[in-house]
Amino acid sequence: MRGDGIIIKGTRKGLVILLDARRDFEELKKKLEDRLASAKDFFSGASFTLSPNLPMERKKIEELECICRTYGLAPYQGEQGDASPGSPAEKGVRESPVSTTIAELELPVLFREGNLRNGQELIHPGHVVILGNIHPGATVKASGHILVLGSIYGSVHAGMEGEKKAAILALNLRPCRLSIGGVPASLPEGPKIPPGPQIARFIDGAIVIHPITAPWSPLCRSGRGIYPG
Amino acid sequence: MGEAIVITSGKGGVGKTTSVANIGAGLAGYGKKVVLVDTDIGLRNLDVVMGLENRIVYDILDVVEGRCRLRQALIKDKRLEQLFLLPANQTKDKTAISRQQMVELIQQLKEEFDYVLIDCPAGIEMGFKNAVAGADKAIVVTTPEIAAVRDADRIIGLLEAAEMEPPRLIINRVRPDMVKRGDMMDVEDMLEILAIDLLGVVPEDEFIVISTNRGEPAVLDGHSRAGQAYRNISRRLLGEEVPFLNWDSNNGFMAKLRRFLGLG
Repeated sequence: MRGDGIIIKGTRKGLVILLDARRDFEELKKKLEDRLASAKDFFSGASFTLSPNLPMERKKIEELECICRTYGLAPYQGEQGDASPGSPAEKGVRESPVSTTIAELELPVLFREGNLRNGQELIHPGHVVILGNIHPGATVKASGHILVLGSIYGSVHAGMEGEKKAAILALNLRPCRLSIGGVPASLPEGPKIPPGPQIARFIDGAIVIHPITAPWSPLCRSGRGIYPG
Repeated sequence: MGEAIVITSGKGGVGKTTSVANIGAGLAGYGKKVVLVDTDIGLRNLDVVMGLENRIVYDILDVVEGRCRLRQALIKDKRLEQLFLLPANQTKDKTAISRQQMVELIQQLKEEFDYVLIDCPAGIEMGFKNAVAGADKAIVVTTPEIAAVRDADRIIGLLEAAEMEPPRLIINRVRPDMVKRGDMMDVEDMLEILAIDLLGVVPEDEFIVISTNRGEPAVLDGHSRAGQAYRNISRRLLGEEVPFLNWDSNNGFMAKLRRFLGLG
């Protein structure tokens, strides 16, 4: 995150406060206070959700929430009351009712060179880039996107912690199992996914696999996929 | 100082022991001093395939537990002066030997032989770990079947994780007629999946059954196609560039004649 490690976004569900959890906590606390103080009347009365980019300790989250409350903000209660304040942190999850793009979460990226073979498993709390193939029987689980410069034959799970905006890209996509944001794809039997670079995304309640199109195509510009905004 | 090569596969029944016997006899036939080590404790077969079963006095456990000297346990081959076998024990199981004992044993053999070929048991448990522990290089054997290729992939992953140099692949029991009809995976398919270097392709050959029953490696027979493939593999291990066999059906007399006349 640029600047002071705090981004405040207005959404239909209230304010979402994106926090750069890698910063010094005291500094973060002060920055948050400064930001809220500078626009005290503007923020007052709004509901809010804290969204750290990495899991944060519950105690720290509570402290930050306390600051927000003193400036007149109310924690977002969720639509079915399931998103009680602090619950994202409680689950160790960045699951936020947000319209932020996944790029803004600034997840760490893991680079791996070489094939992932049968029986091998790669789990990473961020994006994964693999220069090689994912063989049948191998598994990749990532909190963010999965990008494979090679073939996927094994199991791939992107947005493991519920991030449905995560995408899975490969030069050759023939997964045994695939899921995005916890939603499993119903894969066609046999070689029905055509060869060539493909992207799998979660669109309108289902996983859609289609050939990778240029970034200027309307589908990509709508901000649904890996091309934010 | 010699070189220790483990021959492994993950899946059973794909031809590890046959490969060890034939490559060993092949290398010995080219003048190298070779020892075959059977690490399949409890399920030894290499001695049978080599036709040396009735000569066993001491085995690998007797050596590591100090009941005999290494020299006493080595059995000299009937046909080849330079070929020796260190048989496995048949009464205990894989836990009877430790990793450290195996490393020391292989080290000792390397001092005396040009090649130490280690016959690995099937599976990925202790027997596999022991067999791999003392080896410098690995050869993975597979057959053109999905299950065997999957297991080979798993094994390659484990060998890579053990930071061994990349293993080389032998594809055993290939049937060119079935490949041609599209009923069997071809070599390219398997190399694409496994992504390692090819050491050799051995065609399905009835003679292997006969030679195994007789206890005479097929590599010593001039007419066996599998034997030819194993001779080529041995030469490749010695560092020669040997082209891969081509079993297109046009290897008959007329095809050869046509090629000879420059028409084919």
